[in-house]
Amino acid sequence: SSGEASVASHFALVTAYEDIKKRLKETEKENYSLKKKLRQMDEKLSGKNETS
Amino acid sequence: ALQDLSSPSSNLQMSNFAHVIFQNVAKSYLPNAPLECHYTLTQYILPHPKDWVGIFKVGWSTPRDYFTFLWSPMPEKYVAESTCNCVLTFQGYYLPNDDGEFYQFCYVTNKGEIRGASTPFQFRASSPV
Repeated sequence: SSGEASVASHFALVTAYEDIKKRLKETEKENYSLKKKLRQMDEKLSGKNETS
Repeated sequence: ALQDLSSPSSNLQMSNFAHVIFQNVAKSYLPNAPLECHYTLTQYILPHPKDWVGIFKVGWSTPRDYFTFLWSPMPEKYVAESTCNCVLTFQGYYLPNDDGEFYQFCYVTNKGEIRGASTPFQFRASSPV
């Protein structure tokens, strides 16, 4: 029936949505830690420039 | 409307969609390279020679919206109500390009019923994660 087909497409979309939401969270976390790392390296580099 | 499926009545229907489980689905695949699709037929599904596995763009609305498909081969010496691990290889030239879209595998019976849907993946020219 078309009702069942629409439930199926909805279910498949929810499956994809939940997974992409999880991946977004992981990517944001990685983005944050990369920014932090970059900041630390920036500071290290500018510190060295001052002493030299 | 995404919450609709969490109601108890639809949970019963939802279980139908987990009769085929897709295994080890990557987050991305290389375009134009053969793609191996691994899946398990659980004891709840009776396979049919005209069952198929399609690659669908996420957000599809009917089984006719598939991007490409392959017939699901009947397990050899199939024993009723057993579980079977299957593998299909999609050839690279039938696959989407690096188009920024998300796709998923779906198992469709000969009657057009969806019995399994995978987590989503993209086709990316850069190295897969």
